[in-house]
Amino acid sequence: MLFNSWEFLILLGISFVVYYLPVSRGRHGKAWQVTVALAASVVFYGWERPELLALLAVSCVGNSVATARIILHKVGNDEARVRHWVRLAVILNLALLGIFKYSPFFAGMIPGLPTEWAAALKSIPLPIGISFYTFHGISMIVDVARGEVTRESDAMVSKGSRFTKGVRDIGFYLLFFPQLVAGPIVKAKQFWPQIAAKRLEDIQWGLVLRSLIAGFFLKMVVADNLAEQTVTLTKPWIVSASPLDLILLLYGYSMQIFADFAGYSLIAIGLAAMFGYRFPINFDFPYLSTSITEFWRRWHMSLSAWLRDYLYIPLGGNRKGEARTYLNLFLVMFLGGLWHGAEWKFALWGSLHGLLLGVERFCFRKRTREQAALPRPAWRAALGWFYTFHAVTLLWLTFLMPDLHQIGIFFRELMIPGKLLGPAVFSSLVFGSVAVIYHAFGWWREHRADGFDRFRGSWLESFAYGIMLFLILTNSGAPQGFIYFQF
Amino acid sequence: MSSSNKSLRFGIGVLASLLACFGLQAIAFFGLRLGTGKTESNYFSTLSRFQGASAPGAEIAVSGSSITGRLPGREAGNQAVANLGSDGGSPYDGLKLIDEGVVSPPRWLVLETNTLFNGVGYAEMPAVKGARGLWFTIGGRVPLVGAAARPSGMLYARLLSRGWNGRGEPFPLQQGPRIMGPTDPNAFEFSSVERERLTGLSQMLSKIGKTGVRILLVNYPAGAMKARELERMNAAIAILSSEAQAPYLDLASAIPRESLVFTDSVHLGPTSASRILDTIRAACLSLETPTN
Repeated sequence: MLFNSWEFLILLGISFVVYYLPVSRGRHGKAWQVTVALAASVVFYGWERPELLALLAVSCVGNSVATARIILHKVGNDEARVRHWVRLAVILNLALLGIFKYSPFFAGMIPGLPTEWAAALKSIPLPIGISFYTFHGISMIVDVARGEVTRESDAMVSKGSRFTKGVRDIGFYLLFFPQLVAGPIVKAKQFWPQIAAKRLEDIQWGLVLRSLIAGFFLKMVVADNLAEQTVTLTKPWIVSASPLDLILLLYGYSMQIFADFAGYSLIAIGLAAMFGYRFPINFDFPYLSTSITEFWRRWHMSLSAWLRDYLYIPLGGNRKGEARTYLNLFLVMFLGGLWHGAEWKFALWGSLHGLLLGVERFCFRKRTREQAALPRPAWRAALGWFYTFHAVTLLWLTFLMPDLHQIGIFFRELMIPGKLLGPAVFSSLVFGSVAVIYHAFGWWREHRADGFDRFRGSWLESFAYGIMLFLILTNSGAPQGFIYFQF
Repeated sequence: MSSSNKSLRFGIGVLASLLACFGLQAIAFFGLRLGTGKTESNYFSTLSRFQGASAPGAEIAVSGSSITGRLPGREAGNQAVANLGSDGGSPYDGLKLIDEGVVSPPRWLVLETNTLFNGVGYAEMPAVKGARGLWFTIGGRVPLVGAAARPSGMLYARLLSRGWNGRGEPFPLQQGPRIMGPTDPNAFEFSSVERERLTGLSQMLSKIGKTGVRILLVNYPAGAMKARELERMNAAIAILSSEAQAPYLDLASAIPRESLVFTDSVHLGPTSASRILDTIRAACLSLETPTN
């Protein structure tokens, strides 16, 4: 089910009303609300392909059993068994990911694999959102093992008396529909403490409205309108585009992927706030970055944090010498690339980012923390921004294009003059510039905080949101799925 | 100020701004008549034509691809003509919508023959799917949320300076429309998907023809066709024309290319499109007038 579909609006309306019924104020308010949100999440996920719920159930029950055992052994100070269950649970999550996401990929690489086997592996469907809920599962297991989450349910699970309640809460964390299929990847230690009875009057409507309007605007007006044109880059008729069209379409795609994913994340934040939950921000105006290192602190922040906490640091981070640090950086970005999709092009995309991160680290290796914190001259910041934006945008080519051949055609066509395609130029400029204006606001917020604070909550701000709402209603693009749903 | 008061003030501001925007859009759409069927988006250009065509009472419905899409229909203020031009699509799309009852049947249905086989074997055009959705119906009834009133579309059309300025003068024709065939059905070897498309077209034309709609097949002046495509089109015209008893008008042969203005190698400019449409109307009238 898509956030921008009628079915979803109906589901949202019904579940919102039922969630806050007077029964939610009673003794069993939390149980009621968690159950309602869980049921809504099951409908949301299983709407088009109910058979995928079985896989979700395996993940949910498997992670619940492991969590219960880990808590039990932690209470008994049996660290060896804790580690054993952590290993089992991580293997379960990675096995689900491996079988359903990477089997088709590896099937093509195993020499001598019988044709029928290869065909069978390649035919395994990719369950929507599997990359996200397996990462949620791993995060929960590790956080519990580290003792970073302790709650009432944990105690109940540890006594083994009310296991179903534990499963329900864990299921709620893994399945909560705003984050289920494309994040943000909310860690267990961020989410679990929030599980409690919620009251209608506590909803922060300002946050809900701002997040939903900005999110739907970025997705439906900016990303969906750009998508109709940028698809040209991936098709045979790319040859009809002039060099300027190609450059504008590439910039357009850069804005589209930002608007698509940042829009989704904002919608998720707004929806979660409607149900009384706070999600961390996932995008912090990433195209303001002045280095690739900074870019990854602003882009898909929940993934960056996940990779740092559960992969980079366990690999040794920067504590095992210079050479190992570079290797770890590269490895994390390589795997992060593969996480996006089971294709070499994603691995290439991640590797190139890893390479740039390594180069930046090498260039600034002698800079101390204090030096890094000092403001830089404007020209250096501008140069850094120019390099970062164009490097990121150029690398999106590996993300977007179906194969390296199409990338070759793109560069070849850059050399061949041609007639401008009106719609491509128009859309890239009009809708792309909206994403630029959005970032200009981000720059204003960061560099002119006083002015921005005056704007926040002013009539001018509500007018800006009114214009966005108007454009959602009148100028949305052709409905498209979210780009990150495929991951 | 309390949090709820701030939220309330924010909500009121959003609502006021929303209404002001709709007001400005209404002035542009109704007052300045900037509504358009040619936007930067193929999807919405097509939808705006379909939305215009969905209201009953059209004298002529023209169904085809973007070639047909350039003819000024209701979305451009020409109330007599329902334009079912599907950008990137084929006449099959519009025909399907008439067949399904999404678009009301006209008095005359004009079918573009240039692109009879566009998109065979591929999934349905997104705009056809969109035309079955709730938003399409709402847009048909509330013009301001319709596809023809999209602000970016109005801006794009304004930049292109394309519009319909009333009727033009029909081109004189040496030969009027005539029923073709019958021919040997095996004269041309259609592929299985082409055969399927042809059968679908034929069945829909027969069904629509039985409701009293009169059908005219038209070959528009457009880009040159490859030999096989031309042969395929002629074979299909012969079959459809004889089976549905639909007259055929070959405007590509009848009108010298140099007397027409194109915006590219395929699509007609506004004035030429207007004259072509009036030529078609004249041909329809001539078929309605009993001859001695």
